[in-house]
Amino acid sequence: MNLSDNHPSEPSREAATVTTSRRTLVKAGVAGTGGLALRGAYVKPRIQSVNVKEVAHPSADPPPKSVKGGDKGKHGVSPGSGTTPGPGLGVVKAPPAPANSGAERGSSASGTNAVRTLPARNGGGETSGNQR
Amino acid sequence: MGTSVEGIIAPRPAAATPSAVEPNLAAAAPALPLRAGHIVERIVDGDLVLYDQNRQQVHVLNAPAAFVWQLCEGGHDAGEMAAALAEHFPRSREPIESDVREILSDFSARGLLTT
Repeated sequence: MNLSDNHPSEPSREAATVTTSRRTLVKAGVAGTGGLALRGAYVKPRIQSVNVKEVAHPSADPPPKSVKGGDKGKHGVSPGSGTTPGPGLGVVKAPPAPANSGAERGSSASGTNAVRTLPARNGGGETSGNQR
Repeated sequence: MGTSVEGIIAPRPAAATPSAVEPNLAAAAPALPLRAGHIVERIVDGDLVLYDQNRQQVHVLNAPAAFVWQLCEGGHDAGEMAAALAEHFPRSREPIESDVREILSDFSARGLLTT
């Protein structure tokens, strides 16, 4: 960008007072800003810097770290789901132990004792309980 | 006996903060500042954005800094730049020159000027 190319209309008063180089300097600064307006109150010149390497590229290809992380996550989940059928089998095995199945199985042999205990409690009040 | 200190104390990893570009402010700007050739300029949302291809850094300049930057042609010193900038801000002439010198040294510290 050749800053000294643009020479818009400048007040002739300044041309008489300032040197040519300085006048070109002022114009060059205005033209060189490429539309950046120097308006209003004076603001201190400021620069802010950012490292591009450490900033994620939203439109670019995903970085390799995230891809690896995704794969590990998937593999990590699948063995977890594999453990779920494990407890399921254990639950199936667990029910046979409780008294329900024991009563059914024991109905032939010892289940009769269990059946007798219930009528034995209600036995005394069967007549009065049923009548009321 | 033969254990080195490096084997005991693990080195700390460098901090990875995206905006932590700390210039060496001790670097002095050249008398006649000249923009480095590997800097790409773009205007984004009213700000002049410089991209350093070598360091892969992006620098955002406000309007006064951009004004000074455009004057870094290798033919003007800080006093002339300050005078040119002061043409637009006649009230605050005195602090402008110190600010221009400061931003020039900042440019130089960030590797934006040829040495």
